[in-house]
Amino acid sequence: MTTYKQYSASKVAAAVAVGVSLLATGSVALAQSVYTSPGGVNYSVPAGYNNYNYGTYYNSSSGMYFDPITGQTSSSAPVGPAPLNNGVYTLPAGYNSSVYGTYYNPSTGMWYDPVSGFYSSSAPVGPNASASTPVSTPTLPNTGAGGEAAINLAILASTAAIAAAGVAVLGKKKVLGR
Amino acid sequence: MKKTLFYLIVIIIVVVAGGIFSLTAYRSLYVSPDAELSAPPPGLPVVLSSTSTMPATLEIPSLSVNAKVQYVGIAKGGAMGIPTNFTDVAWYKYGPVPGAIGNAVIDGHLDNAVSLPGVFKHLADVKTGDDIYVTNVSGTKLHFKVTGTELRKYNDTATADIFGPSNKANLILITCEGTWNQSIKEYSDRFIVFSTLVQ
Repeated sequence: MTTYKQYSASKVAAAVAVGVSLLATGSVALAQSVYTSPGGVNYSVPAGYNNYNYGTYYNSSSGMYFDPITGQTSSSAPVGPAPLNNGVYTLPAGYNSSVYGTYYNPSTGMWYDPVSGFYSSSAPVGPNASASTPVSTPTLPNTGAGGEAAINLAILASTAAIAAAGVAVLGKKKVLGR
Repeated sequence: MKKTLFYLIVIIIVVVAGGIFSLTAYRSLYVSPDAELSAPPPGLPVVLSSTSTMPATLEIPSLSVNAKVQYVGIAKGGAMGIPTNFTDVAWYKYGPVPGAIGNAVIDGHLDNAVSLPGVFKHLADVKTGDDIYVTNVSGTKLHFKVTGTELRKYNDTATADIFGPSNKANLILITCEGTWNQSIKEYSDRFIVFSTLVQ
């Protein structure tokens, strides 16, 4: 299953214009609040933006949405996470891997963040400058258990011996079998 | 009456001992990985790949390794997931597939809880220049050459060079190494093999 959101040329143009004007005025860079996402990414949110859905923020004055992980703005509300297939997101058609977890469609000039379903015509700039950890990554896996071998082998040997002794006693007294 | 009670006690002891034996044997020979997050946490870079390009088997001829590949995400504690047995390896499914631009990561067990060897028991014997092959679901066999190895502490959180982006098609293998720490039930280090796709 794939999801695909159609944009009219005027909407895309408007989004581009707003994005360019935001970048030009530097308002995106004027971060006021610093947060840490559940994924461990520190990010900041420009002034005037309040919590919206799917981890994004909304500025009711400008009507713009803000994706703090990618640092992008958009006039379109996020549509929610992309469907998962075998644990990975299913992308809309035409999108290729880009930066900060986004995907870019060269034919429409739009970026897409599958975590929030955020479409934007402004290039992703990442979590804002105050981020100390630009991208969260998993920690190293625990792939060994051999240190418990001595204990486990001792348990196996002793319980086997006890069980065998018990069976022998029962067998000798003909409690078990003949 | 006393004899009956004695035999009853012996039977109970035999049953309990047999139960403990079975439980210990099961826990030693089979893996119960920590539960994984149902979806990648917000902010985590996720690379999408088509099913046909996902890895199916991993071969390291110099170590006589030929293993099936499982797909894992992130455990609830934040670590990369691990295979559910000691003979398979596991690919980090939120990263790129082996052969794609970026760091594809595969981990495997060093040993099990009675010290029988896991699939990566001898990974530390790998040498720079050794060959690694990954065959994907569509049957394409990809050839990687080992470019280096590294030993890191188990709690090293600077993993961006492993799970983060790269402009090369890299394959990174991880297993445990070092001394056992009983208090945290982990080995002290992780052995990491870096390799790059041969064009």
